[in-house]
Amino acid sequence: MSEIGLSYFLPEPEKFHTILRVPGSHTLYVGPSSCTRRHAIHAIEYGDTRDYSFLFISEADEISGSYEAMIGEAIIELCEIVEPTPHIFFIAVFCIDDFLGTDEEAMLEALHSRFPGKRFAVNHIDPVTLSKNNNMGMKKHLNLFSFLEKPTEKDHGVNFLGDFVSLEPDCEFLSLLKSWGVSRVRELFHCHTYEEYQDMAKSQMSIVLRFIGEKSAQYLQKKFDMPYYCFTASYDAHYIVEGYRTIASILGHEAPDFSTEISNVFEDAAKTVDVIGDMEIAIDASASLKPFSAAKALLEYGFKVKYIFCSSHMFKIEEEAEEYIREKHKEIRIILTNDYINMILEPDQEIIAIGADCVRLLRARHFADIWHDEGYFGFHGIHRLFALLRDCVTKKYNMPELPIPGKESE
Amino acid sequence: MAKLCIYIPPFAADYAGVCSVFFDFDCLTAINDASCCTSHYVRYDEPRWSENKKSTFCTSLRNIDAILGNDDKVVKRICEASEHLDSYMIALVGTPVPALTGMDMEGIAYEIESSTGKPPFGFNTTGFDYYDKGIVLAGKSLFDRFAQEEVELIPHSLNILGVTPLDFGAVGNDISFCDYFYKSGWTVNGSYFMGTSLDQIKNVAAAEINLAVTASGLQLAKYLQSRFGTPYIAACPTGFRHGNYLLKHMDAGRALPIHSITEKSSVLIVADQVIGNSIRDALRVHGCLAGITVATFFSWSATIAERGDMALSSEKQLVELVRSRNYTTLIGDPYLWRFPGCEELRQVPVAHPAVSSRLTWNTVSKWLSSAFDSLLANVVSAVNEEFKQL
Repeated sequence: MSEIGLSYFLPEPEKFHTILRVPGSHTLYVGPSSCTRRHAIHAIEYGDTRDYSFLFISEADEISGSYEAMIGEAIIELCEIVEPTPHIFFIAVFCIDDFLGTDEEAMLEALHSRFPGKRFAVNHIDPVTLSKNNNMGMKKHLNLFSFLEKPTEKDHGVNFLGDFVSLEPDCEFLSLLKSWGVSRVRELFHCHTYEEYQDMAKSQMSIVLRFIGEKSAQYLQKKFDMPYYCFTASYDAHYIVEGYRTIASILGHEAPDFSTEISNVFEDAAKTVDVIGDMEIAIDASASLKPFSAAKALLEYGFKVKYIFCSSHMFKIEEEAEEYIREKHKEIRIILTNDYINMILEPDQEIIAIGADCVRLLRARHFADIWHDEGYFGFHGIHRLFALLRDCVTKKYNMPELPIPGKESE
Repeated sequence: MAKLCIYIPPFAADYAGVCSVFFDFDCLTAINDASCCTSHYVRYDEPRWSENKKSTFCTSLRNIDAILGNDDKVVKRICEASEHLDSYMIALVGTPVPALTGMDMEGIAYEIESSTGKPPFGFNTTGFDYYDKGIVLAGKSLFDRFAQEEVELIPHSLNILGVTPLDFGAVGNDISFCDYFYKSGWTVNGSYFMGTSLDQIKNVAAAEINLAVTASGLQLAKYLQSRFGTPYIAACPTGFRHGNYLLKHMDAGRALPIHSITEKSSVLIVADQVIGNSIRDALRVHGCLAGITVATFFSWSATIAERGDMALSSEKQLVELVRSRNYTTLIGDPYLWRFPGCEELRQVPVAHPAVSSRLTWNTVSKWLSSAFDSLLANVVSAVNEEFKQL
């Protein structure tokens, strides 16, 4: 993939963002005030302010290295002010910390010895390190589970990791889990007490629903001997069957025969292809975290995919599908969503755009509004996608032109 | 602890101030950062982002480039983009990482000029300072580059300096300020920096007087006075009654009075200093009997301060100020008053997007409206009632 030029930020769709946290914990953001601003605004927007505070450092502090001592002073003050007193502190540092040579282990050791009984972890919010091999969300996610303690007993629960919203209640995966003896599904964002959080260590297995949960699952496997399986959202019926079979096996059960479900998917696909006719499809990484895999599945169902919009710093999660598309479907245009050059992309309006980014960039008239595959999982998710595609051809959007320097807006 | 902030949101940064100034110009603005700083500006400090011209980009800086001082990559990316996006000028804006590693935005901007031939602007903003500094930096640079010395003075004209969405939102305050002065017989030579054209930058010296409506506007007014000799007034029309009071002084060519003796303060205003002073004056125009203190986290000028006014540098200072004096009324951005104790006091919300970002930028007060006059009258009525009981 060619190197990206200047990046452009498309207006963000208004979506609810879940803030993942350990109940009873407090996050101290440490950095220039400018780096902390969005976290504060975000926390206020979601009514989460009592769990966050900010320690501003100056240029002098960063150079002298005195800010590590300042963190200790801030913890003392927070313990006096914040009620109930937090026992877990996340210290969030920003890009500049990567250039200061902070000894993270030494800092944590100093904090642990200064504040016995308190627990600490460092989160790095440092997009300056982003690459295909490094995703800052993964480490942050791992930290969230680092305070789990060995349980006295296991139960029949299952952890979902990496997700930010629950599956749709009528997704068949939930009833399958129940039929395989799963007593409850545990998700971090549903843990309202520290005890509920600790119960996640009791679960018999972890299922990673988004790739950022994989390191957490590996950690739980190592620490608690808890098996895990990566089963991220997919529109490929065979992938789903494979996932169900593997999970059933890990849980000591046998999966049912899914041949009817598979044929239902293909029948529904054929029906949808008939409805949308010759209309081509664009899909972006805001709609599906694995846009190449989603495109591959759509192609196999008989849809015509014309564009894939992907991110320049997409973590390596679907290399195989990307390679397949690049080799077997050279007709598909692969576009880096945030590259400035897309602001002068020729409009392609008579197309179905799956995702908020490609609908803007192509000024597409038909918009399938999906965000990070949320609400689209299992066979249920595939049928829901097809229904959405059928529905969106009946509606027309009128996206405005992207105004750019040197060109007045309409 | 002076630098700990528990209740107040961190404020808009200097780089956001620079970008805000350049937003309306035909300029390719590149923020030299990984992504967060650009995201801060476009999603938290630019209410016009989703509805108007988009001109701000991110260089996608990575640590290896910052460590190695790989300026060439930044130059190349901007020059390439400049070939496709036909802007008149180019601005490069610094953030914490390049500030730390010593990347020189001004130097890089000159390299860009030699490749593109377009007027370049480089700002060594750091993200450690607040938006008002960025506005002053950007404004001065534009005036330095484009303002013409030899222009004909327009009789009975003014410039309005320091108008930005970070102070007044994007709810039409910029337009209503201009309309108000037009209707009052003044010619508005330019409103800097919302809806500003390059010609207005060139002709900034044509105004008879500069009206600085914010602290950043005041610094620009001082600069323009030193360069062109243009006199200035530091005040923001705050409701029609105060607007008329301001007009009388402007028509008479008089500066606004500064009160050296005040009653014991029962009203605390925390805002941009010029705006805070203007709210105080407006309360007095409405007949406020009580003393009023103005405090600010942003640029501070002793010459426009009254006794007891103060510059704030931390949340703790604000908390102590409110707790140590017997204020009954707190005026300012609603998100300043979230610490324990404020709930018992009268809070008068005057949104300041540089503080509360998108939480308030659609509900910023219309400064020249009868609603604002009513708000001020109600505050004065309540405050005077308390004052009489003392």
